[in-house]
Formats: sequence, structure tokens, C-alpha cells
Amino acid sequence: MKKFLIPLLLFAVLVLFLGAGLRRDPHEIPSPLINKVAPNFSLQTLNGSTPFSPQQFKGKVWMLNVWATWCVSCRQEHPVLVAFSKQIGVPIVGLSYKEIQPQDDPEKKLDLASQLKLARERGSVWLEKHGNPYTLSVMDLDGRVGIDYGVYGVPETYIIDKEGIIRFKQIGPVTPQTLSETMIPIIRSLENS
Amino acid sequence: MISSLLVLSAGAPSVYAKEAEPMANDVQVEARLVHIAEELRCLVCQNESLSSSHADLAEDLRAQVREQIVSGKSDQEIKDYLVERYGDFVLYRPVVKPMTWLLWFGPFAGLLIALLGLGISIKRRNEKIQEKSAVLAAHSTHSTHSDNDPDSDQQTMQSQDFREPGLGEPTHLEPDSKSELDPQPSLKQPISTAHSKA
Repeated sequence: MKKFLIPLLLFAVLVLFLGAGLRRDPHEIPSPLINKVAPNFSLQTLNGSTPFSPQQFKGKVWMLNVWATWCVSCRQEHPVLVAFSKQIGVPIVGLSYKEIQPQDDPEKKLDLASQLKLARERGSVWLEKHGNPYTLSVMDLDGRVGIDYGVYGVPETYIIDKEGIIRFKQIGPVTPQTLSETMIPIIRSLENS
Repeated sequence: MISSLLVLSAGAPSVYAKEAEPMANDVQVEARLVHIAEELRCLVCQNESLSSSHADLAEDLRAQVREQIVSGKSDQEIKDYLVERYGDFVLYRPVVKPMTWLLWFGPFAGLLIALLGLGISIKRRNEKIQEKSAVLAAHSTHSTHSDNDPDSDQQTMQSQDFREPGLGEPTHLEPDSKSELDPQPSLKQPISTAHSKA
């Protein structure tokens, strides 16, 4: 009786481990930046006003959403963000991530200024077409700021608190469900703290 | 002919140089880059190392690593830079820390437990076999005296059979062998006599 239980128990433990492994999405890499200060940057904005830096939002809870016009999942996410921006008074900063892709400029002829110009044009057209949820959008042409934030895919969304600390990271498109079940409660509790 | 050769030889290297342009500025830097990047995971295609991946992000990250090599950072500093942003996940060789103890030492602990279990079960089994054989031995010595146990009879018969040719136990064989082996000494005798005669 006892002997028969030992392999069964071992098997049950194995199944538990494998079961836990199956439920995880290997593409969702937990960010080490959660509860750390959001990396600082200063980037040109889409509409060409003064450069933006996260310090300007100190004292506010805000969101950073990584997007690009070439990003397919962003199209799926975009209406959700547009609706959310109208519903809730939280600033959303768009991070236009590497708008100019290598295939856009295969000969590497474009200098930084013309890259910025092209990226601004494309971004504006896209936002006009799909709606603009962003308080402002910054241009991360070379993806450096993206690397600082641990971006490894588009879209990604961060919630940053009043102290400038990253409290949440959404990998992949924001869905109405994650918004209402996870993100809005986090934003509310951060606003009240 | 010569000019076309010249064009070819001039053209070929420039083609290669163009392909390798983002890389081969400095052989040493590239060697270190490969050395570091082989130990790092590409985040987009997770089963590829940073050195072999063609993903855009991998290229950007390689550029970052290259830049930091040039600026004189150590391998560890560069790895730390990436871990700060992407977590331990970028390291193919996980760091030894309490959270990864199970990963690092679990297999050895499992092996140790298995060996211990094996040792204990072998010991128990040996004890059981000894007990059983003791019981059997007691049982068999008991039964040889009563002649109605065919097994024990066969065993004693067999053991006698085995002993006979090998050892040629004199006590058993002597009465019979004398009559059988009798001719031999008588044969030997004449030969020796024959020798002596010759």
C-alpha cells in the first residue's frame, strides 16, 4: 500500500510542476523594472514642441504606451486606448518606437533630421486615421529609450506612479479585460496614495 | 582582361566589406562581442543567442554591447546592464541565488535522495534474502532427513555428481575405483620395465 503511493506522489508533483509551466506564457518575461524608477530620457515629440522628459509628470500617475505605425497588434489595441483616454483623466504618453525600420531606409541615406521628419509624418497620419489617445507622443527613433525600459516587443504599456516609479507593465496589447480588471484598479490605488 | 580582373578583385572585397560593415571595425571588439552575446538570450526569438539572432532588437542590443565594449566596460558590467533592463531571463547561465537553488542543486539533491533510497532498499532486500535463506536452510536441513522430499534429494544427488569428477573424493571412490583403475598401474608397470630393459 505504502510502496504503491510513493511513485504516485512523485508523479503528482511532476504533473503540478509541468501544469504550472504550461500555464505560463513564455513570451511574457517579467520585467525587473517593476517598482524601480522609470528610466529618464529626453526625446523630441511628435508634434514638434519642446522635448519631453518623464520628470515633467512628477506628481502624476501616467501611462507610457509603446507603439509604431508598422505594429500590427497596436491596431488591435488602439481603439481600447482611445476609449480609455476619453473615459479616464490619466495622461498617456506614446513612445513611437523605431518608426523608421531598416527596410524603410535600406541604403541608410536618411540623416536623423529627415528620419524624424518622416516618422512624424507617418505617425501623425496614423493617429489621425485611428484616433489619438496620447497626451503627447515621443519619438524614440533608434530604440534606445525602448531598451532602457526593457521593451522587446510592441506594444507594451507601463503605469508610472507619482514618484516616477514603474508599477505595472503590460506586455502585448491592452485588452478591455486587463484594463478593467488590472490596470484601472492599479491606477486608482496609485492616485489615492 | 587585366582591367576586368582588377575590377573583380576591387569589387569583391567591397561587397564583403559592405555586408560586414556594422561588425568588423575592430577584430578584438567583435571577438568580445561574440563571446558576451553567446551567453545572452535574444528576447524576441528566445531559443537563439544574442550573437546568432537576426531580430531587429538583437541587432540593437549587439550595437549597445559593442558600444560599451569600446567604451571600456567589463563583460560583467555589460551583462549587468542588460539584466537591469530585461531581467535574469537574458542570461543563458542562470545566476546562483536562493531563487535558483532548486534549479542548480535540485538535480543533485534528487540524485542523492535516489541513491539513498536505492541503498536503503538494497540493504532491506539483502536482509530479507538472508532471512529467507536462513529459513530455507533450516527448512532444507530438516527435510533431508525425511526421505520424502524430492527436491532436497535431487540437490544432494547433484552435489555428489559435481564432486565426483572434479575432486575425486577418495573416501567415496576408492572402493569402486580400485577395481576400475586396476589395469592402469599394471599397464604402467610393464612400460617402466620395458624402459629398464631397453
